[in-house]
Amino acid sequence: MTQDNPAYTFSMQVDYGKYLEFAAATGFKPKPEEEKPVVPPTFLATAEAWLPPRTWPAGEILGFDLKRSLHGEQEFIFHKPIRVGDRLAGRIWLESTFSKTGSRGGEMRFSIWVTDFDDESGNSVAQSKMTIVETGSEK
Amino acid sequence: MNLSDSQAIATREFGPISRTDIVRYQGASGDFNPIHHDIEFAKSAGFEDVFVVGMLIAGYLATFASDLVGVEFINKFKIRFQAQTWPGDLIICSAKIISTQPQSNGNQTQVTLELIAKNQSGVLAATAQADAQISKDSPLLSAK
Repeated sequence: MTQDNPAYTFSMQVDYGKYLEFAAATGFKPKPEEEKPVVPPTFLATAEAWLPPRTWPAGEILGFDLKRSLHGEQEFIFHKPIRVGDRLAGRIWLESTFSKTGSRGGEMRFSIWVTDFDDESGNSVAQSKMTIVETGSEK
Repeated sequence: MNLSDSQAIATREFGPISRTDIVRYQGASGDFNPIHHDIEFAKSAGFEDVFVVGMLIAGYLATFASDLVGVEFINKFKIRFQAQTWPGDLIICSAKIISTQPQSNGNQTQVTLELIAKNQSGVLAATAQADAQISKDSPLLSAK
């Protein structure tokens, strides 16, 4: 699995209702006076809603145990602002995976998942990078 | 991340986070990991209670950063989760400018904000960074 051979592909539409819902959930003041307002910086987390229910790459592809897994880091890079009305194509791929020994013993597994977002013309508009950590089984 | 060089330019408080706030965020984002709303599932994973979705804390910090620099100018947002937060927690956010870089066009400055979120007991929940390209005349830059 690589950037050219993604684990999942999906398309999403940045719709106004989801913008309002996400804004309400995160204390963001929406701008209804604008026709195509720029979405909040973490809005692309809603890509999850455009994947089949319960899609969880770290579990499906690497066998991570959901009960022992944590979201370690998250990054979004924007090449241009994402606006309500945009239609985006997403590709999710595994950038890297590695292990470390945890402070309480046990193997901690790390995986870094990238989602590339393109606009309708095929231009890259944003990238999301998510680090998922599976903690050791010794609790 | 270096916290020492400059004073906070702004602070903001979110919460206290209710269970409804967690569910509202999960519905909005589409992340239905049960560890954040199903107490039996959370207990079976060894936790005393459900804990707050990290991305809700990210959302609060992103809102805070957006209100400081203007959402349309943010070109990068990055967060590292440091500790879990729990229903009832307050999220106390602060922001510092850690770098400014004048752009070659002469009118713009690339600014990097460092953002931190702590709970009401002072436990560090997350550290984040927001990069934005803003007008060199922005009042934010004279606040440094």
